[in-house]
Amino acid sequence: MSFDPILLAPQQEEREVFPYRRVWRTALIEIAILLVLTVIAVLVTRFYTGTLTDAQRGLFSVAFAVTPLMLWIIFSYFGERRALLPRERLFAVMLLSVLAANAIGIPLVERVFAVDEWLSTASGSSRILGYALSVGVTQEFLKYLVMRYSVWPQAFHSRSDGIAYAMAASIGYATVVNLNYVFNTIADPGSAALHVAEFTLIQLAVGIIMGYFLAELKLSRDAGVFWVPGGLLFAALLTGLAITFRGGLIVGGIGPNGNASTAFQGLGIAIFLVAVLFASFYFLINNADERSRGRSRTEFTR
Amino acid sequence: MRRIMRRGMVLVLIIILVTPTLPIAAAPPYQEGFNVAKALRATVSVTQVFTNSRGQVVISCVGSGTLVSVDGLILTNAHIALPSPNCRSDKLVISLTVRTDEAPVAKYYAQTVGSNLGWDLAVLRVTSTLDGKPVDRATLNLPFAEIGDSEATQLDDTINVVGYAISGDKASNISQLIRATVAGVTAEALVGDRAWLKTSAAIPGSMSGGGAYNVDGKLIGIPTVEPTVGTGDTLNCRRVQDSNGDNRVDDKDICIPISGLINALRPSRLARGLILAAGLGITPSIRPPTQPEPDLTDPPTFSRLFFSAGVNQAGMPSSVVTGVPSGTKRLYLFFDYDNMKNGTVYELRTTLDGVPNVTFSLAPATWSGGRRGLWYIGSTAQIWPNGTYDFSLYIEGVRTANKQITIGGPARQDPIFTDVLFGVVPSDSDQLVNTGNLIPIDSPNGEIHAEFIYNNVPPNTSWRQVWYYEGLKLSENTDTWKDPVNGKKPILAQANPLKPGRYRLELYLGDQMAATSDFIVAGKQSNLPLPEKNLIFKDLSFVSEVKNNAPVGAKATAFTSPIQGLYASFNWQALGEGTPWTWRWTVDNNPLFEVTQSWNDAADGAAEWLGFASQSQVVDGSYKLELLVSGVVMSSAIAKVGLGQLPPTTFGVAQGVQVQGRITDAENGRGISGVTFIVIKVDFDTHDFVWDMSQVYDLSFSDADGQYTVSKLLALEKDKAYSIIVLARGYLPVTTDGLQVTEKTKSPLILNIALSRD
Amino acid sequence: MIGFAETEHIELNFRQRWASYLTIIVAVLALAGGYALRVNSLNATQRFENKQIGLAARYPVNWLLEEGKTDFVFRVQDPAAVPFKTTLQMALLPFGPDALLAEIPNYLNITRATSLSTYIALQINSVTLPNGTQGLQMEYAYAASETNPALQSVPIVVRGLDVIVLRNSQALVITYRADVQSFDRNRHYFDSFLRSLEF
Repeated sequence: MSFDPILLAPQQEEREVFPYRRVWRTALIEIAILLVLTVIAVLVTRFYTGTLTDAQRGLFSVAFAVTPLMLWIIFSYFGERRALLPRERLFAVMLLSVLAANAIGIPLVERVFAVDEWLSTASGSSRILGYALSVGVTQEFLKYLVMRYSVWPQAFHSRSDGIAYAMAASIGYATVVNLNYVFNTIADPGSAALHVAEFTLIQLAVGIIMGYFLAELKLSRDAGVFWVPGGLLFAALLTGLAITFRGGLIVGGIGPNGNASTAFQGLGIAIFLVAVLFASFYFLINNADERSRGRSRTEFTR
Repeated sequence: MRRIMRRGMVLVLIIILVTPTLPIAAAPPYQEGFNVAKALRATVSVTQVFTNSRGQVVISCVGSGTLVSVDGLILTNAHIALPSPNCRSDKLVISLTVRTDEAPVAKYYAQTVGSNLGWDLAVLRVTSTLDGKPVDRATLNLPFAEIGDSEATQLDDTINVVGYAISGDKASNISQLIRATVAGVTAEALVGDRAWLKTSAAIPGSMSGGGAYNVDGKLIGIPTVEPTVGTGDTLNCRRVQDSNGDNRVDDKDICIPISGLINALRPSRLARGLILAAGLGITPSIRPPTQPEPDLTDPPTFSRLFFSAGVNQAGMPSSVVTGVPSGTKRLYLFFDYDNMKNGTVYELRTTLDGVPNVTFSLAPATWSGGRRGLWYIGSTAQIWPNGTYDFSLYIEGVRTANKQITIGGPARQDPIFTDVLFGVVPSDSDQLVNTGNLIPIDSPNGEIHAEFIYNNVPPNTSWRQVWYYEGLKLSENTDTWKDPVNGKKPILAQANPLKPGRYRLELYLGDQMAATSDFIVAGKQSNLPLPEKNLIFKDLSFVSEVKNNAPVGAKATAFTSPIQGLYASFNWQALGEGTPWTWRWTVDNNPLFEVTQSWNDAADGAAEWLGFASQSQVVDGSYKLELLVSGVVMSSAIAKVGLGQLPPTTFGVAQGVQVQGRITDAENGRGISGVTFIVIKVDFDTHDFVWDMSQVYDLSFSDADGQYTVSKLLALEKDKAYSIIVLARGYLPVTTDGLQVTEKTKSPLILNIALSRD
Repeated sequence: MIGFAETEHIELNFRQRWASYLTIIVAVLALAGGYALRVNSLNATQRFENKQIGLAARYPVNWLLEEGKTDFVFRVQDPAAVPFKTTLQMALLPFGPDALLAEIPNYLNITRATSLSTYIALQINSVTLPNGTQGLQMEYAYAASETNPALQSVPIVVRGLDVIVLRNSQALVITYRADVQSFDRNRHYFDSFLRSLEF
């Protein structure tokens, strides 16, 4: 014979153990705005018949490179500040990620691994493995280090905390990667916007993996010692796959007039990655939270 | 939350579905036949330069030209290529059309390897780069124009004229295309009825030497106009450079001649021989004259202008007309010339009822008829509009003579004499045997037989025959007409002894000249059938060497390769000094050289020679020499060299498709330098490719602007496809296995490639 | 905005601690693996052998191989290199039995000066090949310019290095050429090539 528990508070309040900002919603809003801005930039570039100076192109590229960060500050960070219980050191994580990317990530990828020299013309499998073990591991490991030694485990109260901090780290890292790109490349506004959007989305999509696994390590008893290293390798592999597939998609085949522009397909792979990973981890986290709550309820009733 | 994600997914799907349908820049309109880019790229700028006493390179003349072979043969006007008092030069600089929207870029020095001053055509060959390094002809892969059939060009056909136009409102000198129609065909002595093609458009003079293409993109004409510099206020030239190094540009400096507008094309038919000879590497030579050319102290003159409705094979008028009815298509202006010098610029300006008419005019052209003779200019293709025409002849820009004629009304039944023929009357017959306008010197009793057709001549009409020898009146006979109204009348003149040289017969009705013809007395009768019956040139034979101005070695009609030259030796008899004669070389029935000149030797002699020398060795073939007098072949012979047939590659037109384009950075559209563009042989694809040149069909590297050109033309390969790899470090490679070349593939095939970074 | 002062200290359990250690170890190993992959990729070679003339060597994979031309018996070029295609080349020049090794650079200089723009010889030293053969090493430079008249490029300053050895009545000229900026960076290709050379 069993009894229903006595409700001491409304159901909704019981679920919201930590009344934090809803991380998925703001992330999707930021991504949607970024995509809209990107499409506008591409269309304007395509139909604009005038000529831009290099300075104008550079100015636009820089502006667009920091747009994801601005969107994150406006929607995620300021949203966090308005939440009942703001997550701590979100901005610090972003900033540390910027510093790590600038001081270690970019030099490591460009100077030590010098991926341009050997991966651009390599075969598909070599590219996946090469990018995974160089670019992928570097950026995901740095994001891991930033989170691990700044906010983990003390700031990880829920699994969505992991997502929020991972996004902060990812947006910081992506901003540096994007700025590095725009400072070293003179690109048309449309191309710059596409490049920035693609790499930001890939960073965000893959970045949440480390956040999730760190949160699991903190919150789940089922997470073993190989949980986070496995997550790191998984994220790195996804990075390798994403860069390789993007490369394959943005290079159009040669037709009667040359090769067609398929740059938008690169954005497609980034959006696909965001959609799949966001959906997957949304349901994973929901399920895990449900399980945790179920376990808590069982313990409470016992 | 789920709603947001659903909406997000919908947005993403919309973006993915919509973006591929976005419009992209429209492809340039496809044009059948004539390929503008190909024609522009085949066009070159030809600049004559010389080094002055201060070591400065001075530009003296500029014009256009057209590349006519892949290994650097250029067809242009002779006046552009050859040095002259107005165009002092010691070098020819060839500037290529690298970008069709940019000024030409000086790339090579060239040499003149063949020319015909009278036709104003020359063929050049690029010899070295501007830094003096000799070019390897085998590796040159220049864009070129194919020669078309200019004889098939008809009135009102559309043509595209390409050349370098310099005009005051242009900041730069870029190759231009002017579309026009064939507005007329002009006849000229020594060349024939289709000596010039007239255009409807006025083409800038600096395009002289360029190319005129038919709708199939074949070169059918060379826009030609001679510059007339003039003097004083009428100076028609540009001073652009301090040529004498006095730090001033003034009237002491070189003035680059400016040609007037062009409305005439030299048919490409005339250039075929020059191009073939240049391709075979042979240049003609002839024994230097034993007597120096007489100095011409008297001024050149044009006189005795008259009109004719026809011209015979010897270039003589069929009749003399003072007016022609409406609907007339053929009309020729004949005139005598004296003290003319080859290279002199002459011109015919025509007005119709006082209004200048370019269609029936002849723009300044180069004289090639020698010192003295009878010349004509005519029009044969279009109907002459009714009206009063004034024909004014100019020598070096100075009006020398003029004549008027009225065209219109119905055909009149005026008495006429036409078609004067000359010949011999055999002893066993009283019928004249036409020998052309040529009478043997041993004609019995020194008789010169002639006959002419007469129509509508009423009885008792006063008529007159006047005979001349070398401009001096020999005899004059006035009579009244006793023959029927229509018929053929034989006449006879006698000179004992007959002297070799040029004679003339004039026939008058009343005081009006009704018919006239020049004829030549030369050679002796033989037992041979016509035309060899009159033997002028004898013992025509071939040798392969000339030493000390004399043919040496064994005479033969077949030679084993290699030989460095081929020379014909012959004897001659009864050929008067100053008599025009023509020598014509062909190979395998293709024209090589044709030169008409005045005989400048004794009347009888032996071992005259002419021939051609090769830069390396005479290419195998059957070389035929014909010697003509008065338009009739008097002697001919064939010499076989090697196999007696030209190699099949001689006329090989480059078949295939040229691949070119621009390789750019996909992110900013800028050209990428040094990108490798590899075309793999059709037997392999990108998966079989093991980076071995034996698998590579051809490859190209992009230039500073990202432009590339695959030198080797892609051959038509049925049901097979070429594979392509485009790669550069830092960029994602672009590959394809499906580049098919079919009959419909347009050349050049423009493949623009955008490379993306990872 | 950054509030490190409030950091609370949470003791990590064994699982969490070792997970951190392992993550670092795995990351370092992965990065090392990535670097090894890079080194392998850049230094991967394949063998060239010409038994007729008795030459064998290893050259970088995916370099474009060309054999049997008049001015060289073997040449590989890096097709992806820009703007100048880094080149390794071997040529056999016939010389009489009385020819001196020191005469060959002179001959090369004279012939190259006629074909290469602004050709200049830099220095000539003695060199010992990895297999102990004595030879000469000559450095030179020239401006490589576009030969296709339809294309326009700024001349590229190319630095070249010849190693010349005498073999019977032939001189074996092993050449390395690269644009001046990447000459030193790519020199290891030539060194590896020389080490692998069998003749």
